[in-house]
Amino acid sequence: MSQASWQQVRSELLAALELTAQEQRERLAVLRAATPAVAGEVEALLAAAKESADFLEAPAWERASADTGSEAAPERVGPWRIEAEIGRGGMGTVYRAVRDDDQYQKQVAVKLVRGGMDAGFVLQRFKAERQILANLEHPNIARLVDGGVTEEGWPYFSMEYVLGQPIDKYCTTLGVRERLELFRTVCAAVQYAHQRLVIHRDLKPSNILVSADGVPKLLDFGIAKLLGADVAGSGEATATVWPLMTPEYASPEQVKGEAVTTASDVYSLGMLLYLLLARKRAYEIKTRAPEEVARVVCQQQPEKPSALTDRPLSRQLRGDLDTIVLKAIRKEPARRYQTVGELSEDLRRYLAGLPVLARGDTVAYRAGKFGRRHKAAVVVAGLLVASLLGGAGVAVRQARIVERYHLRAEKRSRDAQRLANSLVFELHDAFADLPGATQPRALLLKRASEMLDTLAADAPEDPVLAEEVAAAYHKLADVLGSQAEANLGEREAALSARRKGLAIRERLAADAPGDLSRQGRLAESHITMVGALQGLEAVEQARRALLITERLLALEPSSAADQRLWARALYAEGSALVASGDLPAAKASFEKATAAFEALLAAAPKDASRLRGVSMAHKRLAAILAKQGELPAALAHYRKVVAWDEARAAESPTGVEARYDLSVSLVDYGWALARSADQAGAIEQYQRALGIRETLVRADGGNVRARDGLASVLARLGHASIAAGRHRDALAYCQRAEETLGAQTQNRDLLPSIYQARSESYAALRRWDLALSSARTALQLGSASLASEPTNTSFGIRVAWEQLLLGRVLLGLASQPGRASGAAALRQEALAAYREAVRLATDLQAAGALPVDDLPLIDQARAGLARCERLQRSTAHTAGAAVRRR
Amino acid sequence: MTDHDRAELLAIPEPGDITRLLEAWGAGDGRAFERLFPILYPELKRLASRQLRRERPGHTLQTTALVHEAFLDLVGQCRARVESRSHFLGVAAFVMRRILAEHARGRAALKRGGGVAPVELGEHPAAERGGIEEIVAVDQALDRLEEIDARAAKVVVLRYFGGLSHDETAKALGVSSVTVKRDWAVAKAWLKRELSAT
Repeated sequence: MSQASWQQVRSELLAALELTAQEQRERLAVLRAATPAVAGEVEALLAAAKESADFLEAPAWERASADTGSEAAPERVGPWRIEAEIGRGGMGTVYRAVRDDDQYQKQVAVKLVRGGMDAGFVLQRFKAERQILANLEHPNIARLVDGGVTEEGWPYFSMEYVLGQPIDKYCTTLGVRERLELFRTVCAAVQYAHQRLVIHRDLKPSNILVSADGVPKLLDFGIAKLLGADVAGSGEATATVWPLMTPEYASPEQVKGEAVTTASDVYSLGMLLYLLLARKRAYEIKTRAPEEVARVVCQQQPEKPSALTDRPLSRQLRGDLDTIVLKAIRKEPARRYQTVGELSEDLRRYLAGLPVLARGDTVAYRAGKFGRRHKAAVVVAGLLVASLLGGAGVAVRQARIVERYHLRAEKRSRDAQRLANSLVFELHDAFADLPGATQPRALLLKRASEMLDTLAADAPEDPVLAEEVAAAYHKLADVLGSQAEANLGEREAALSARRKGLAIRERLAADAPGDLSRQGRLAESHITMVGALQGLEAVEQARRALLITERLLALEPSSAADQRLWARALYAEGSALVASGDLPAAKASFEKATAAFEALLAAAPKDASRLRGVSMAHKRLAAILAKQGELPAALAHYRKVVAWDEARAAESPTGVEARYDLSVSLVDYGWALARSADQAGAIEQYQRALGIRETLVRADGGNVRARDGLASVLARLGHASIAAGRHRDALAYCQRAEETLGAQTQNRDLLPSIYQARSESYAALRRWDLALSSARTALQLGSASLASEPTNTSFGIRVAWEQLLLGRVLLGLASQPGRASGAAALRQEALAAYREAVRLATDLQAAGALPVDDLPLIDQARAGLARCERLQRSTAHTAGAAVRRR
Repeated sequence: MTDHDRAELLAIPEPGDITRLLEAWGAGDGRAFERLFPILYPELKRLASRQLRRERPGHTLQTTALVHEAFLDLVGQCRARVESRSHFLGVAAFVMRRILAEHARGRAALKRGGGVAPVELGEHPAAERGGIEEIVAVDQALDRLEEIDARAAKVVVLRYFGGLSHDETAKALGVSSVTVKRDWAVAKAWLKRELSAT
């Protein structure tokens, strides 16, 4: 159209739009007489204008976002590049995707939760589906490939991509027998799922795709249900799920919201069989109105499949197949085939020409069947059938024997497993909180450990057994040497058991990446490894645990168990970072951990384990604050910690754990008081801790940790007494500390610390000889510890202080009257000790591993060094003067 | 090289430059538009994709709010003169047309899938359909409308793609509100006819 005629059309149109319908017609008539082309155009545009009241009124942007539902297709999800959307529904969107690696262009179907729906419910179902798929491995069920979280934080998983046709379309070219064979393969897959306690609940043609080579695959367990266990973690009413189903295949009990059983899948399979055989659905449901759906599904009696078909097909269906289909789709679940296996078996019998079970077992029916079967060659066939039946009988008997043998072997391994479990879990747990039980527990665990090694070597295939073995290894390790429970000091044995447990869980988690509980248990293993390792190895384990728990939380943000696991992983990371000397990073971890534990405690304020978690995390944070010189803040934390621990100890007056924790908090609180120069306060808290620990050691003398703990609080009392100027008290405490410390001590820091305190006390009392021998012992012990763990900076710091002490004591001894003969050698040795102290301290400082309150170390060491040099100069001068005088 | 790539190569413009360009465009300088387009495109694209990916249906940011956010990002609050804001809305509408058309074509291609039978997942009948197809069709028809009635086509860009009101559209185009109303009525009828004809 030309510009000119458009201008005319435009003005005519605008004029007409102002008119009534009648006036428009009149005006158009006039126009048509003059310029018919313009009139036609105006008429068409007027008609369009009438329908365009709402047209374009919603801006394109709103239209686009409404149409996408919530999001455009992502470009990539995890390792997958999205190629095309292949389906979407209430639960999420499915895309076809490929892996980007050039090596294998593997296609998968990626299922993604869509934002903006009832997120809680959808995420729960999504998680359930993933877990269900992870447990199903069957050639006719689309396999789970992997799972994870998108960059935006939505969970996804990928499944085997099935390139195929819906089963009903695929069947159009097949004969009845082939359809039945194919259908029976589907039955086998459903039956497999049922054996795994999974009900599909949404079986329909579009969920069963058949590949070009004729292999059917079951898809979409999006509303499947795990029987017995409540996978979703909530009482999920069927009513919430049913609007998601396809009503044509939904059973009456599903539509009515009643209990769904395997018989519901039998019904859906029956409806599918109906469609495959009759090529028509049993009935069409015109609307999705719930009343109409319920009426049709629950009341309308379907016709026999043969009645809906023409000859010759109807003749094939009439009789057995009609009967089988109708039995599968009875309205009452109890009157259907009770299992998918029975349905499939009846079809097998039909295919084999045997009497079907759906029929009444009447003589006439059997005779008729027999007649048809032997129509061809009665005698020969009869003999053949008889021999086959005989052969089958033998086979069945043999199968039974083999089965019995397997059962027996399996039973034996089960028995062993049960015994090991009973030893580890039941008996051990019964002993766990009983004072005095450390020795018998160790024996128990040694036996259990031997049994576990055997079991682990024997049955790695069974995931349930494997997990039980892993859990047992961890339990064993806990008792053998973790820092978190009473133990016998066998750290190496514990670490080895832990590694075995971790290895099993790593394998289990790798086998089923979508199985969240396996991932959770793996994180648990990593967390427990942190306490058993040092330095970067420990940090690495903590970070692994964090990675897993963050992923888990993204998938199930409301799970208290996952939140707790996450808090513990943060705590473990903080601990590992403290041990490797990175206090600022450790502080950040513990700040996050305290917040996480506080959130948990807020949800259950009386829960003992949450009380413990929150108290521990605060305690660690307080320790860092104190070390960084923020003492008022640290003390405030400690007061809270002590209050929490007292509350917990009061709740369980005989519990060892709670009381031990309280004593630790008191010691830490005392330590912080000592740092803020409140020695009297420190001694008071230490003595409270001492009281608790003395009781614990009396109750269970074999408990190394209790003894170490007692010795440690005694040593601290020694140091606090020195600071308070009570040197004789200090020496008494040191004496008791050394006596308490058993040979099996795990605390390699303690003995040097005791000798250090002793040396300082003797020095203050001017008992220089005794001070020197104690200082030498302290240095020897400290150097040995450092040599065994050269990266442990707290050992390095201790050795530096010990060198400093040694220098001071040597100089003190050298300045004693009557020591003139050996004084030069002593000063020389002191000089070397101070030099070493300076070197160590400056190295540590350069590495950023010297905490604020160890900084005086450098100044003191330098001052000592200067003093030595001054002394050497002045003695050289005196000696020179003496020589000149002589 | 796409406009996007070109825009990425440009140094991040000074807010003052943008204001100047907006004023030039308001004064009828066609080259200013050529400069503005690649500056606005990446910013609006970023905001739009974020919204399209994340927002819940029913909670979508309005086009003008989205554009306003981009304006604040690019020009800043304090320098924002009233005229340059309305010019900005005008330019942004053309950018949004490009972004939404690209988005809609991408979505439409995805919907058609790769020739594989779609997996039904229990369709939600309530889900609104057809917005995508409409956007693609309007975008194509607009090119034809431009040839016979350029101003009416502009009004559609500003109102439909830019989300501007009648008055904002009038201000951005420097025409009266009545003119915008008439152009809009004509364009709607014309496009409706075009879309139902195909």
